[in-house]
Amino acid sequence: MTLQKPLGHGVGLRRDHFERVLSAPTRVDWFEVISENFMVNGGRPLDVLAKVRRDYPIVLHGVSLSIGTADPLDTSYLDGLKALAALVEPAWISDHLCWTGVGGHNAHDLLPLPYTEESLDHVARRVTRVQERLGRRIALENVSSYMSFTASTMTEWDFLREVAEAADCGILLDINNIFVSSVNHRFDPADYVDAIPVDRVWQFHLAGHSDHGAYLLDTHDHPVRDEVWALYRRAVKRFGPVSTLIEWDGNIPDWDRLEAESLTAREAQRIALAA
Amino acid sequence: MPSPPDLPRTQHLIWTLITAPTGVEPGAEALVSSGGLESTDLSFVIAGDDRLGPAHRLSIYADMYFYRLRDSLSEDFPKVAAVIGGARFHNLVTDYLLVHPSSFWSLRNLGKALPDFLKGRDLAAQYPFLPDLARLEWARVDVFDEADARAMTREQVTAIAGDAIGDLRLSLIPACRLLALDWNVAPLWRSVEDLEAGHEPGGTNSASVEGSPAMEEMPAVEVGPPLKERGLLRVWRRAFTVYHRTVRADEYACLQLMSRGGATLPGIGECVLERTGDDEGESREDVRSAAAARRIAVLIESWIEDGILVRKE
Repeated sequence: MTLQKPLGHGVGLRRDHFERVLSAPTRVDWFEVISENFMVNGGRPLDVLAKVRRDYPIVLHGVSLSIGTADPLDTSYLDGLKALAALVEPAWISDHLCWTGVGGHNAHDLLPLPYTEESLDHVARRVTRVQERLGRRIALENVSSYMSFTASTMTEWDFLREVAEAADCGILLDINNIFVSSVNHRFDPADYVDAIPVDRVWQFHLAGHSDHGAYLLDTHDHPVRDEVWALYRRAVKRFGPVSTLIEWDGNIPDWDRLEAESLTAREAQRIALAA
Repeated sequence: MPSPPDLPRTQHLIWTLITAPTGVEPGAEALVSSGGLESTDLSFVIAGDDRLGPAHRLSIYADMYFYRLRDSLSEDFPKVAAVIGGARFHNLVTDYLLVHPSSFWSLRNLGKALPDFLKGRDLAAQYPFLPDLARLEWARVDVFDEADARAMTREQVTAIAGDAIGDLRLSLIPACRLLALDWNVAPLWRSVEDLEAGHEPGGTNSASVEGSPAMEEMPAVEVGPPLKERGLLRVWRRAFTVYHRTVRADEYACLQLMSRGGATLPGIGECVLERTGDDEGESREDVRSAAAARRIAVLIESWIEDGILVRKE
């Protein structure tokens, strides 16, 4: 499997920072955007995206592919995504290993799957069809989860690896999500990182989470926590200088603070690679 | 204990429980009552532990489902939320989502049915202008990311000379909506906007953002009700800013004409002339014609200025 060329360190492009990003150079290497926010007819979002694209690589990151739903694939969604990709020429397209709704409805949440042979066959077949329709490979991201299924017969990391191998797709490894789920489901996050095949990982996500006592919630509204930085350094040692992105979606800080978090990731990667 | 269901049945069960309006446990009880579940013990599907049982784990998703969608609707209908207050808006959203759950791949269309949903509800008895306020807010959402178009400039219009001017067909940019409302809600919209000046709504379409329960405590703003009088509005986007303006009946009729397949300048002239007598109180034909001509010039100038005219080929 061909590895994606590392893009360096990026951040999620959010409305709060449109003006700043367009008005002066930044110290980040690339941007990730939520695909669905730009699958529109016109207006400011598309204009901003076109302008940002002139200066930076862009990755399209979706939240509604719903690759694991029992519903049929939404071909209108895929065609809209393909049209956006033709416009943006993204470095790659990613979405989540999850389902977001059923019965024609969308919860707009990333719901975990039972890790069973039934789910594995279902998801792998659908990823193959998605990739054929889009004419390109996609990467799937591990989600944070707060529930697991009694039907599961394999670990999440085995399931993720098996889907990626069966469908020949990439992996967007969210380091924060691994940590959040490791606390919520009591597993060793290092086991997760160590089980993912090196040649499948295209990208890392880093983000902050909230501690709700009995569980951690993936809120993207804090700086990256120390435990997640430690896990990131472990991942860098295993996977190398993989493209890394900071997600910050709630309590969004000013641009300088967000950029500083990305620079911290850059330094963490440098130290991990030098060690 | 029953065997775990297959993937489709698992997903339908989880969907039913996380969208249950009164919560996961009452939702499970309702399913047991209707024969859809053998027991309220959900451990045959969801694994629990000493920290969190299956229902509690599902409730995390149920809370996020509701708050995410409520926050999205409050961004699309900030004036409706402000007028009725956070608690009533919370209950409105609960009722709305039961009838209109999201069926689109983004939250963009979630509020599309809200204006009609408000009609005939108890809330509309207390706030009878609410459906019209919601229509105005939705029109503003609708044009925000509508298709771009190159509007005609003053130079392009004046450059059309001679006989060609009669053949020119004018239409409206895609990002323009016309509203005929029973209540004149535009001044109310402005009053609430002024009260909220400086407030920047937050939130993204990210699937990982937690909701803000504190919104339930947001008090209703103190503004007087609008007048119950016909309100004709055009809502449009110029560049990246959305505007709305109350228009007179003759302008509304012309805009309708243009939006329904385009209109020639003589057609627009006729449209204005028909209404000039009514508006101006003129009776003599030559005076009416002169008044209509002046009015047409003013309208076309404002449409060019606002960037809403396109040439229909």
